[in-house]
Amino acid sequence: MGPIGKAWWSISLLLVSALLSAEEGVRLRILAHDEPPFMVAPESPGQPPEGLAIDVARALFSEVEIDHEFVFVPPKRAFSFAATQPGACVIALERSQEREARLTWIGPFLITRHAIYRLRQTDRQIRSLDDLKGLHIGAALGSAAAEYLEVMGFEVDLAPRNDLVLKKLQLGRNALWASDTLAASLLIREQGLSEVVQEKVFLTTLREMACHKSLPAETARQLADGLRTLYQRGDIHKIYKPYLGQQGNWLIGR
Amino acid sequence: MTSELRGWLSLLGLCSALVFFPVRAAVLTPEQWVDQELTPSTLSRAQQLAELEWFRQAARPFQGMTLYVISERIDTHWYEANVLAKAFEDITGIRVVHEITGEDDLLRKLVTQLDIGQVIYDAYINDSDLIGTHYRKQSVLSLSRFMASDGAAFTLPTLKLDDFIGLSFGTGPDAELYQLPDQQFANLYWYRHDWFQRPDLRQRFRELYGYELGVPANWSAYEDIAEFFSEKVRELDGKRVYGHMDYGRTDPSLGWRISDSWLSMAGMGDKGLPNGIPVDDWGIRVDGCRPVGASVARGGAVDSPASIYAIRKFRDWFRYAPPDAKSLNFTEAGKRVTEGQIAQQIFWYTAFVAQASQPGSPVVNPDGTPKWRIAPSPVGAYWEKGMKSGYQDAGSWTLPANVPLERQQAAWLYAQFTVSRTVSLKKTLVGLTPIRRSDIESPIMSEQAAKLGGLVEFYRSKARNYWTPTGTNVPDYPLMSPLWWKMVSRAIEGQEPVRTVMRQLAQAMDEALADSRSGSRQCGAELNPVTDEQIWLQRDGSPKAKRDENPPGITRSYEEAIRAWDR
Repeated sequence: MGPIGKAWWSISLLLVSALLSAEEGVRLRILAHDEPPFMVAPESPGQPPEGLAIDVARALFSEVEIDHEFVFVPPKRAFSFAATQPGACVIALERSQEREARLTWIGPFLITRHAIYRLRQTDRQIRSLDDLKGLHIGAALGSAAAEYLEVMGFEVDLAPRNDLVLKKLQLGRNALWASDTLAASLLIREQGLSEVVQEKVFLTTLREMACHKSLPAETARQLADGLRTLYQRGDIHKIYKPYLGQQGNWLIGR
Repeated sequence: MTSELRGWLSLLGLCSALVFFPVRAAVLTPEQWVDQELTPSTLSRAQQLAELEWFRQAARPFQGMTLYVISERIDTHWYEANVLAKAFEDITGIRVVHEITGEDDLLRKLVTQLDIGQVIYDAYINDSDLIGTHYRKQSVLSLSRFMASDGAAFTLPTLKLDDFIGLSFGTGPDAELYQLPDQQFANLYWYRHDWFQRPDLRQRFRELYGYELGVPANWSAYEDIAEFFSEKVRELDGKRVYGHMDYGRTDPSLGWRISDSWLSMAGMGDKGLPNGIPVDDWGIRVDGCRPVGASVARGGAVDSPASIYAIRKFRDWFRYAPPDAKSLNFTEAGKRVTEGQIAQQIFWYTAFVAQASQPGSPVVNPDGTPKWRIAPSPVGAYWEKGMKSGYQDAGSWTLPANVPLERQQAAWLYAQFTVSRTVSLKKTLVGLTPIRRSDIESPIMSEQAAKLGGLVEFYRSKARNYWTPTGTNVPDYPLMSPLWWKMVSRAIEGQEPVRTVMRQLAQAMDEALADSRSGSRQCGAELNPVTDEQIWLQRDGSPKAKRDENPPGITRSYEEAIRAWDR
């Protein structure tokens, strides 16, 4: 099923589940969007979704024993559903001053670093953001790396998907590629690209689950406590491990 | 021999090792860093090189390590991230990822790290407003203890703590240092000195208001001047001008606009430094070191007449500001004065001095001197001599306790490097957020004073002790600070009357104080019982009963105004 088919299927499922949930007990609809390796939509109905954020969500809902379902929709729609529909939550969003007051937040679901990548043969040294001045930087549309660099005044060449940004780097159309390190290492691994190297980490983001404001305070507390337990028990580390590849150190390490 | 002299002699002895420093491609030597970047300094070149050699040797066990640190988005921290982190790497072999972000994001990351136990950063440059939290929760290192134990071998012999002007801001009630200042800036009154000097405007103001146009000493005068420029003058040199500038967007920076001493500038708290005793600048009453209430009914002042007056003025004065002011945040509003349409701003962070001093700016003369000045902020109708006068932000190095020891030691080296005398004067000249007495008193700062509109005079005066950060009474800053913006925004947006909002805020603060007890290891809150508000209002001090909120306006010349800093 192509991306459009996936979206229609997901939206239909969302509408059906919205109708169903009115007659059921507490059941959270977790709105996700296709963003490998964090969220990967099922190819067809009946298959489970995959991804790091999905795995974290599954572990959390299992920990707190709250019924849930995943629904894939385009990112902007996911946000507006979560902001307007009781019982809906969106994964995984960065908090911002604009969004802060509109939703109830549970996190961190994802803690990710973002880095600048270059082709090995260019031997370009990027030791600070200042060194990016005047260079063509590619990044995926809507990514945290792109948004951050744009706010900081850099010109960013946006492409709809991260793999397309990587392609531009390989073709020499951009000097640098800005991406979160997990998605980048997955692409590099999948494509066997030894010529693409990480040059400089420049940003860390926390992404959270954001729920409709009507989420009962008790449920929000239960979810927050459950997530804390997963971190403190080391479960989150285990969930991250298969996604890290060669990148042994997730956050802090020598 | 003084300990300082001993420190210098031992450092100078290490200098001979510098010639053996291995130079990698694109890596500058310490000499190159000193000669090309870290000049001027209050140290001699030899002393600078000695400090750098000490860092190189102390960092040996950590070569190849990558540190992660984070700070807020101001010029000083950009300088650290873009320049000092490179210098540190070249000298020590320790790589530093120095991230820059908004203050709310930084705070969220710190709270997350401490809450879930996952190390995200090795160190934070965190506002000293959290001192009450850190002291009570003990989830960050006491730097005093660290320097005497695991950090002793990694503490710069010439750090010279007594040279830091804001050391008390990061010190807990137990006299231990938890946060070491990295940069400081105050909020002061900003105004267009050139416009205030114009004879035509002075005469017109005198005719309309009956007193001289000058630096306002009280809020009545500020309001008159705001009305004068926005509604009477309206245009100068063909441009629309405004007598007031502020920001009011519903976001976390709106909270800081209020919690950064606005209520105490109105006169809400008690006399006594640094924050008011026993009622502080947040309106929290303490008994010893224990918070006992924020609402008037419990002896606090969050919903007292002075607080309501402060919020009303904040809301009402938007009518004199540019039409979009209410939709701006801290960062957007700070730069606005540089566009040349603002006559005065009562609450202006000096972190923006560097931007307002840029050659070619509409607010800078061709000779590089500013058309503006900063002066003591006017105070509200409830303010009395002996009270704090404003806010000072002290972004301070804070080391989480959950970071592995060797990383704490390495992070402590980087922290000290960014505040060492080798780099601090240059950093001060770039960011204009001074932390060391030696830098402030240096001849180079005297030379710069004419271009900085009063900043040097402020920091050389006793006034720097009357502009203070949030103090130790706030037991859980991350829990309590969002209450300000979430609630005050309702009054600003006109959803509810100010009085109602402040009642709700006081109640929420009381509840948060009660909730904070579970995380406090010491000096936890013990709420007073609810009593008749009149009993509290009739007593001396804060909470204060309603008084005349419209006294006659008082203004002073600039020279008189800044002399007040030394009284």
